[in-house]
Amino acid sequence: MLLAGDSQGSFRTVTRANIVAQRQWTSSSEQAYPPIAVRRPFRQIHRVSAAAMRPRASALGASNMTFHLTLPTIINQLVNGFALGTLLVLMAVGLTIILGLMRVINFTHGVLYALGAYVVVTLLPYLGFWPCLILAPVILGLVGMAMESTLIRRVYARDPLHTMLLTFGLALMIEDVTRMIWGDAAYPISTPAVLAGVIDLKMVVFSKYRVFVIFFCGALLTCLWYFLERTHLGKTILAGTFDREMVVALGIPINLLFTITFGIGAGLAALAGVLNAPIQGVFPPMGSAILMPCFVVVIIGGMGSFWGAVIGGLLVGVVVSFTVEIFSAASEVIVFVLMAIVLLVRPRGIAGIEGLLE
Amino acid sequence: MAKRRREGKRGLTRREFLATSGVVAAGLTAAGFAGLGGPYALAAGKPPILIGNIEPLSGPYADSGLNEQQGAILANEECNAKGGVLGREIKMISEDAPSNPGIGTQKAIKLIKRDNVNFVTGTLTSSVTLAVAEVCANEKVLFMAFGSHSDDTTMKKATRTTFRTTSSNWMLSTAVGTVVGEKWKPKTCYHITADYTWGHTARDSMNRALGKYGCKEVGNDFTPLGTKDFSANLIKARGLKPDVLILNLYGADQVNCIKQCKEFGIAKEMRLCGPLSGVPMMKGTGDAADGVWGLTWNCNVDTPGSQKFREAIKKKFSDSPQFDATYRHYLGYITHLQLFDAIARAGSTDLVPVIKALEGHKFDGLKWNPSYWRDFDHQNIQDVLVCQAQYPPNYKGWADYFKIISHVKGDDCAPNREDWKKEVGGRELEPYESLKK
Repeated sequence: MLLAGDSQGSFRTVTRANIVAQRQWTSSSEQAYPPIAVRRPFRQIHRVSAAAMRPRASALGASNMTFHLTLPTIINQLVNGFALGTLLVLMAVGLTIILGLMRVINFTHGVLYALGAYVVVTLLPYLGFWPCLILAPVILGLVGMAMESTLIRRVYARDPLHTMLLTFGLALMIEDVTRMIWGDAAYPISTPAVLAGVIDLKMVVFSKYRVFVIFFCGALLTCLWYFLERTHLGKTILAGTFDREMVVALGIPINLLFTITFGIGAGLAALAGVLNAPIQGVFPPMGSAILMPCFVVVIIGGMGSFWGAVIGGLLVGVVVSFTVEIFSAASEVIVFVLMAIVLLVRPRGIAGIEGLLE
Repeated sequence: MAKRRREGKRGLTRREFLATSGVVAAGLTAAGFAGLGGPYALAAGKPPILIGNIEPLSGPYADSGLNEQQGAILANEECNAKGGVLGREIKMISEDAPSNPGIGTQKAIKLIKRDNVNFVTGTLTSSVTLAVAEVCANEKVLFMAFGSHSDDTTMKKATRTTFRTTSSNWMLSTAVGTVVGEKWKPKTCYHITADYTWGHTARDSMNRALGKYGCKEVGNDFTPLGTKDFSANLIKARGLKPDVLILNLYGADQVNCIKQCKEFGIAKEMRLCGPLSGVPMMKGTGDAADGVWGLTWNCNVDTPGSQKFREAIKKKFSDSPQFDATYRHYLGYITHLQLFDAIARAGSTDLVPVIKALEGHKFDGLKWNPSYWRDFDHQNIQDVLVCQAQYPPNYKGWADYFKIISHVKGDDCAPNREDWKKEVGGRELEPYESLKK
């Protein structure tokens, strides 16, 4: 019934014939010298292309690298990249402000994000999605404040390595506690009914929920920016990231400021967790998985910088999205390549603050 | 002040410590004798047959590992209730090895060298399976692998001492490809493939099977293992408008991809399928459950044997109305029963007689057609189920996740002798003489 020896052969032939046909479609010079994979798509943006590079790609060990950068695809991937990016921004902003003000490399940021999602798992049957969206960040914000004022505060005076060890240890412990409480299996969270489905504009198709995420995060980040730049408390926090000693010298209670900042960071992380739950589900290692990309965003954007985190996050989102389109297997490593390039050009990141952790 | 208090306290504790530890030690010894006395008395002089079971009981695959162990426990109890094998009791020693081949190797060595087990069974992930298989081949101990789906286990890395119960990746992908090709008659397909050996071989097998029905691959994305977001891949796939989208993904990757397929309304434009899924994944996808998948067994298999086994598992291991037997339970159960049967037929627990008893042996695998252990690669050739994943509105329990739409006979989806030889490069399993200790 199955698997005669020639089945593989005949299938391959079909593919080859396909390649040859598409090769003939391209000009003869291109046929003689297949262009390099990375440069080609940007030159030929509006044409269905890249079939010609298949033979070369298979020589590299990755056969059938197919992609076609048409205008609808570009718009789709751009929007998608923003959706991926805004969630990273939400995480990275908290991380970078905590880093800038408190000089704490906060490894608990990932588990706070996971806990935010788990709060939804527990409360969703009783409250529904929307109250959770507000409640989870508030709860985790308070948890973050408690954590800062009871544990992290005790090691400020010591070597920065101690805060790193403390937060890292806490992260490991909290992840195992989530396993004990909620188990290992993934929990599915449904998209709220209003936002289920897609916006179909024939050429381009967007997921309603992701568009919502972009606008919601955009609005939230605007509020956060207003808070930091235009309110007294926000300005004090920003001042603290630039020059902590001066803020202390002016008689501002820096401990209270630290607790509030940590709480805000924790709340933002939890919010990102809630927003991401319908997209990626909820499972124990989700916190450790998001932490690395967040640190990369912080480093690309520049440590301690609000706008740096925003630009870095969006850049990572868009670059990952387009890498998937062009060469999917590199979508993980591209983030680190991007970081290396940025650091080569700007060693402090895009908008890094001079003197921070140096 | 503080120092004196601490010293004073230490003095007190020393006396207390001596007194308490004496009592505890006496108690423990007594309890130990009482505890050990029971089973040894029952074994009536004959030593028990020791089976070392290695499963991931912690980490991401803990649920599946536990299910395999439960299946094995049920088989052991059924066997002991009938008086054991060759008049000897079956005793199982359990070890936890999360998906880390190093720990797998350690645990296998511990079981063989320190516990002197007669047989090793279990393992779930392919990396641990291959590590344990290597230890057992070196130590000349029979290893019955439950759950590894990698082709290598019975192909490139096949050994005379290893048998594998579950269907290989080749069998699963070919079965799904055949049924999909026959039922849907797709012209084009698009792959999203996890970027490691398992994903690559799944894609090849799928293409081989679908190619017979004139289906062409229009695109493939290799995604790094652990990818959380597939939106960009789905957008890309949508642009190429394939008839079928094939997800060569497993675990959390598969869960995320299926969820995002629903988010982007992919199901309205193309059909989903993939080589392998399972209850843990469907629990993760919830109402987004979709696609046609290959499975080795499912609780909806309507043979009397399967239904009897299913009821036994449900009765023994959970009161939850949602709980049901999974193919992990099946693997543990059927493997242990087969091992006991082979020992009985061989009349001893020696390595070579038991291997010879297993090779080529036909048995009732509780499915429609009989299963058998193939002699040249030690693969369990059996019916492969092709199931539609679903989440019905009146969802009641795990049994609702998969609807069996077809099954493919083992010989029709497993690599034949020529394919096998081509894959392993003309190698054969080592001769029996090399197994003498």
